[in-house]
Amino acid sequence: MISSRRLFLKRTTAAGTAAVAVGAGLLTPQALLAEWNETAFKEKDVDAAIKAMTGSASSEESDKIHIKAPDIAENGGVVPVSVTSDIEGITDILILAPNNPVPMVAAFTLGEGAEAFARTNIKMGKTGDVVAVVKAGDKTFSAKKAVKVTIGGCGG
Amino acid sequence: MEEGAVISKFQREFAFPFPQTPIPSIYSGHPWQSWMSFTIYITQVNAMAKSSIKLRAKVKDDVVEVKALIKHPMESGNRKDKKTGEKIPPHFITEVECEHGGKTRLTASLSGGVSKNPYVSFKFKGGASGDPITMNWKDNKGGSDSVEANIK
Repeated sequence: MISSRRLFLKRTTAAGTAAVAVGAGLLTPQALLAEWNETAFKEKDVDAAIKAMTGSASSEESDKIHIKAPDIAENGGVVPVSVTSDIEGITDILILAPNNPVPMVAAFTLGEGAEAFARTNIKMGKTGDVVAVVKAGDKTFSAKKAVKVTIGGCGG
Repeated sequence: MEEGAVISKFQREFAFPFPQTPIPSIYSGHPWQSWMSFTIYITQVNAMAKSSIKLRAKVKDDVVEVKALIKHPMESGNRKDKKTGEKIPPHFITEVECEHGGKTRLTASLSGGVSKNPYVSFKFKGGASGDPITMNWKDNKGGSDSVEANIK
């Protein structure tokens, strides 16, 4: 029971504001990355693509992200890349190949209970870095690994 | 009696489990009828069991490792047809989703930069051996598929 009228008013307005903020998308919950992000997957610039995907412009380089990829990829069409991290509270793992026509390759949004691990095979047009970006809370961290590609996998 | 409904001596004696399998009429009454309907049955079973997704999930030390191999061309749209010189239109998987226990365990957004017949793997906690796990994908042309498997 709410005994005082003042307290009652205070509480209702607070709850009302929070509801409006959620409704207006100010407090974006996990739904941020739920839909396929066309902007991020069309962006030619690496930083802009990361920003479109995670919402933050700069990412801190971190040695707590481990990228497993071959030093030399004989076939650029299939480059196995796995990303693990020791950073706590990771919600998203992005894999980018900055030298590709479209740098953003894959984005993993981790659900409940998911470990900081993602693995897939990517295409690489030419020799370059593989960049992994992880999002934990409102911070993003990144790491990169150079991969030498003998035969490119994007052109035709 | 209809032609297709003729039961050969073979079929009566061995009673293979394929009563609904229609037998092409050219084989009815033929000595090979039984064998033919058997091969048709096997082909149908294989076609039914074949999904575009090969899903494997294995629990080890409380962590479930999910591995999936999806059959898909994953055309980026940058490739050209070698014969005609025309650009091959993009056709790739945009989203892969994996569910377990009523929870979305992973949503992966992919692009044409992911290899043909993509492989996706991830790990999660909270699954037990025998639990059902489902995976589905959608592509940029509106195609989709899903599959269910049990955690080993």
